[in-house]
Amino acid sequence: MQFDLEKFEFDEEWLREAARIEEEADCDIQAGFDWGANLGDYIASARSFISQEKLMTVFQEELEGLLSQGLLSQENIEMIVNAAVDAAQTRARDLVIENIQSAKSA
Amino acid sequence: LQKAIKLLRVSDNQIVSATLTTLAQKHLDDFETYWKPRLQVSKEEDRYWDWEKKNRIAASSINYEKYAIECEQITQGLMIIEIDWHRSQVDPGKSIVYVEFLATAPWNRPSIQKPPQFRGVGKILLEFARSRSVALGYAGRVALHALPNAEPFYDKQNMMNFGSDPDKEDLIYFEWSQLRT
Repeated sequence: MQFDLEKFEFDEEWLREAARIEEEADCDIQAGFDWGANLGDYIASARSFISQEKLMTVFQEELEGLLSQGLLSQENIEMIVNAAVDAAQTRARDLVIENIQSAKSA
Repeated sequence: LQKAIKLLRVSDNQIVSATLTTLAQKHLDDFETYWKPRLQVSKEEDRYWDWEKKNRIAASSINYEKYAIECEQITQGLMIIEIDWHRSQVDPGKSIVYVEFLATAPWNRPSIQKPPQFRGVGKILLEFARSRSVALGYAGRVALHALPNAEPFYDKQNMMNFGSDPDKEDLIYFEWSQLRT
């Protein structure tokens, strides 16, 4: 297996080993800091960012009719609320990152 | 720079010819045309990166070098390195090549496409940064901040993991120390 760093030349065996390591890592290969690059996860992890409890109250009130008729269960309402929270967090996170990057980044 | 290199095409396990070259407008056009639409609908951490802007900023100083890998007439990877301002954490005071930005094309990322189209793009770009470090007399020292889903790869390169950097939104700082001769 040959790799000459100074001439930057390598043989097939070196390349196949490099590819094997990439496959084993099983991840993307990116590097570099840009404003907001990692902010999304931080925002998404903030439990208080969008209150699930408050939304649940609103949905229960709004869908009371369907609940009382047995067309929706409490479990269904929870699923609707979780989906709404996920969608809202994803959209809000993307907008925050977009705004930060357009204001500050290269 | 126009350096003939090889990549592994995953679909048929063949070694194919590619070129490592200085970043040109064609590569930025490929980014806009082919990369961006796929990144913007993804969850990728670099989906808002704008390589056109990065190129303009990097053009403002001779400290930056910009490279691309081309294969089958399409840009497969992009990298910008900084060669003068950064210093080693392992050997304080020693100059280092700092990888400002490195990204592979969306179709070469397992999180977007399985299996990826080509393997070797990221590794070759990273090794080329080390090659530049040697050429500049920095003894192979290279550093970067990894995006979260890329950390396993840099760990496998035996780069020293310095943990999260609060100045860089907690991205993990990795460094290759001096090469042993």
